[in-house]
Amino acid sequence: MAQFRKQNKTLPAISTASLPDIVFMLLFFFMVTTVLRETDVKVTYSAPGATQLEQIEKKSVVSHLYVGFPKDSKLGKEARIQANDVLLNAPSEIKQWVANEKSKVPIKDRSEHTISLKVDRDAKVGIVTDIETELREIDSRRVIYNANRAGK
Amino acid sequence: MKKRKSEGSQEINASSMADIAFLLLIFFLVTTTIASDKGLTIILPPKKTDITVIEQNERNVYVVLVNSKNQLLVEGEPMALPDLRAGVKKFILNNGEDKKSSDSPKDAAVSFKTDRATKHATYIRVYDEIIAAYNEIRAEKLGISVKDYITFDKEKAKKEPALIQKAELFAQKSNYVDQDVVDNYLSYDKDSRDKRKQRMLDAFTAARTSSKLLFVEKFYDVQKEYPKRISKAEPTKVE
Repeated sequence: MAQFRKQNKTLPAISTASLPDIVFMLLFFFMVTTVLRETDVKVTYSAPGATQLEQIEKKSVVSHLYVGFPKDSKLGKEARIQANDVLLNAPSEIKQWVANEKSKVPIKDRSEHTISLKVDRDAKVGIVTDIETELREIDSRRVIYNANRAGK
Repeated sequence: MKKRKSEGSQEINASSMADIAFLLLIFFLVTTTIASDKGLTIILPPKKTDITVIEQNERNVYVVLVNSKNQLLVEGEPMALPDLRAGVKKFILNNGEDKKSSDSPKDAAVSFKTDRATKHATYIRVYDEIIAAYNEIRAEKLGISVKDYITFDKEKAKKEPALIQKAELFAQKSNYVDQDVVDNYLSYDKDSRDKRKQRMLDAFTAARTSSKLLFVEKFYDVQKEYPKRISKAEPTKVE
């Protein structure tokens, strides 16, 4: 017993003075890595599952197109296409959008410009086909269907 | 006045600093979305006017249909999704064994059509299975795992001579690649071995990333443009 008491006496309290430093370090890490969402997604999106997933390494060549059901019930129940912040009225508006997006890609990577289709799992194939038809018209044929890794 | 000031200035208590920092930290933790751009890649066929005519015997086309109720019909027979991968693999690797199935992997094409009202999730699952069948076959031919095959990276492969050799061998020996492509990239007399390797690697990567070693491009053309009815005996023209 005596020995225990002796040990207790010698133990110093752990200094918490450096705690703010540690936390700040973490804070700065997250501040730097965080990319705040540029677009406000106005349609529902839950990714379908797949297994043979590929990743696009160059983020700069990818443009995202959302397809889903409007979150705002005033906008109806039909699936809609969202490009950047705007809900498109017709698939034909995609042409303009793609041309615009393509001009943002560095010239040397322009041939690799890929459209990432973020389609809600419950959306119908029809609307996706409409998008693809438009993309074929303007020869922007690289497409990636966004998907999550499906559990076996 | 002076005296008063010096009395009033105290050291600021910094003990709450950690709390403030934690609060900010949690805010950023919550708002951070580590974006993932994972998915299934596909190269769409050119627009309708540019479609080249593909002559395809009926036996060389594996017809996969999905209706508006998300039911699968394969070669005229209803099928469960888990059986599709094996079915596609068997079809591709038939090599003329079964007279009603494909002549060779090079001729084989998978036609995949869905109804407009099919759910996107179903479309993705079926497409995934077809891709998986192709990936498994190719990975097996290369002697690498499917995961390695999907994530095949040219830069990494450069450091692995074994993989380059395999890619080379793969292109030369198997009939999974059109002979034209192999001829183009492996002009044996002209180039040094290193250069050839580099070209092969480029070809392999290009094919893998763009057209899935020519397979999927082919099948995709057929997928979109395949006529509704195919005459039984004659080779049919697509589009």
